Amino acid sequence: MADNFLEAYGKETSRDVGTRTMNYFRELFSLEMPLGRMMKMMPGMIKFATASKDTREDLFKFMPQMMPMMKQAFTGKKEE
Amino acid sequence: MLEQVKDWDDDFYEKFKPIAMGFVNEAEKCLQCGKCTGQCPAAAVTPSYNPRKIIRDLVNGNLKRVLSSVELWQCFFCSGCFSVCPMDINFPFFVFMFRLAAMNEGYGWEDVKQLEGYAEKDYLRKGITVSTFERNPEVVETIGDISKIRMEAGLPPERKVSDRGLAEINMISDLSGMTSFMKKIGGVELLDCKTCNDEQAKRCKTKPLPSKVGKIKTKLRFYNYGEPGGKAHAEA
Amino acid sequence: MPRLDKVTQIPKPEQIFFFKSCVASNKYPGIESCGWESLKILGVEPVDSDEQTCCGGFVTFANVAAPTASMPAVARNLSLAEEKNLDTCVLCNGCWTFLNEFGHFMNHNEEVKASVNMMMNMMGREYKGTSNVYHIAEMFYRLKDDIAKNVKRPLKGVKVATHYGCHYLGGGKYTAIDDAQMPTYMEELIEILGGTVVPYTANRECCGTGFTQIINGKDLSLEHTQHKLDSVQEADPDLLIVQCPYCHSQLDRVQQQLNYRQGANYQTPVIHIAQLIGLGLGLPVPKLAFAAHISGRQRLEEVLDRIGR
Repeated sequence: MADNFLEAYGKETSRDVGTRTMNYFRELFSLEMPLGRMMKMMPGMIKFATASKDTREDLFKFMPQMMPMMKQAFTGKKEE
Repeated sequence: MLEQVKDWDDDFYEKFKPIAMGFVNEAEKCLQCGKCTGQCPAAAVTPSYNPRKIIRDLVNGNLKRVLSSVELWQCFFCSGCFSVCPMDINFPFFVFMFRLAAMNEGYGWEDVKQLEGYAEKDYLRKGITVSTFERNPEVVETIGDISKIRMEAGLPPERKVSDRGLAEINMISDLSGMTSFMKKIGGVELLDCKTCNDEQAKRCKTKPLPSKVGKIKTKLRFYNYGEPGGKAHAEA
Repeated sequence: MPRLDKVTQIPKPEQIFFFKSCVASNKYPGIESCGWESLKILGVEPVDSDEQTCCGGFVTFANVAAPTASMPAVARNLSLAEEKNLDTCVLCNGCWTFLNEFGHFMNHNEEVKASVNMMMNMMGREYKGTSNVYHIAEMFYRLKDDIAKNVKRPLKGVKVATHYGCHYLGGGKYTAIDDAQMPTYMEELIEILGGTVVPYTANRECCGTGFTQIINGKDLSLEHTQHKLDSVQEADPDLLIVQCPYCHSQLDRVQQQLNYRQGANYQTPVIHIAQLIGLGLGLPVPKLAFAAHISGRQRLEEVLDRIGR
């Protein structure tokens, strides 16, 4: 009973599993904002903007702050 | 020879620490004193569950054993181990993090799938995780209509979260990746042999126990830390 | 023995943000109404907001929600209190730990706070981290002199046992007002109201909900709760006091389930600390909403008859 998991994993070592787990955590808790992640956020923001009038106003107030972030995401460079 | 037997990812814990961002950073100080196991409510009912052994395996990087175990999913989240720990290791946070890692490996989806409704139907649609719905007919008979009781207590018949509040948590869910996370859970189907049709049986990887077939490749968990205990097993 | 230095740090505000709990609202409305009314009697004006959602702790720790969603959800709920310049008062141990711990985490991690605040700014909010979170039992202990002055319905001859719940004392062992192994503040409150404290062996044990175990590992959960209930029944209290609606729901509902499954006879009424204070402060009986309780209904009626309706 105690050794079943070794069969399930086959030839994979703990190191392989560790690397995979580490990559998963890194991606999950990353604070960076690459383009792919920015694009994934778009549908949520559009949904929020179309929900009601005051949500749209609040989101538009945020737009000036967002432009440099978008630029950074597109060019992949940090602006000085 | 020893290198072949020893299958541990030694650096894993060191790499993991910065990612855990201060939540679970003291575990290398674990004394293996077993106070956590001594007061654990889950260990009291099932002897194979042992927080001490799980901490040891996590710090040593014996990941295959931890991630594929049933025991990881038996924690009660009572924080009793944290309250008695002489080195202040917050074990429940470990369990929380490594349940995510186990899901990434394909374990434990059948448990999570059963809880999906709380997030999708209640938290995101109504803003309140526990709804007024009662499953138990005897409870329904005893208490009757909950909105009537609320009105008698001087409260509005139903607690409602405003539309603005709902729009905000839905945006948080979309932006923080919770929605896509839940889509993954939605991709798992729970089946049992009684209702299984031929097409599903074809896709089924574990022939004797086709408990789950879906887009996610799910696997069965094992009792990696000893024989399962508890009353149910003692009688069988 | 409560940590008196911690207790004196709790302010006696004129107003407080009343954070409603999901189980308290939808299963045991008496907790919500009693908490509200008794705070009012004690001179603290509760303020609520219908934009407040559930704390999100359940879905996060049940691994149904991505953990990244938890911080913004906490920040959003705390920012509602910050907008009004108030501290938050919660009814549930789970809400307390979740808001307290993650709020504390964000206050000490500027990077995380900045990324959460970006999301908050999109919604026209901001999380500053100025609001403290207090459990309603802490508030009651802080206001115990006012409680003693306002007792209208003394609990004379009522035997009361306590159950503290894990997430308050265990999860917040440095922020809670009492020691995790030997807490006594609820006993003090009971004595102020005139009740008799009944000790029992399994006092410090978990209620057995095990967060999700009641759904996923029902055998483990029921076995543990039965152990607890056996010990409670041996001491035979008239009331079992909890300070967490989730423990409340487990201890109340599992009694009925065990009676049905095993032909046992558990009949101990379980009530929340807010309801006990409400009972002592003389709130009208419909406000206590005992109609929503499942186990020990007859005994509750007897207690009410004895101390006066």
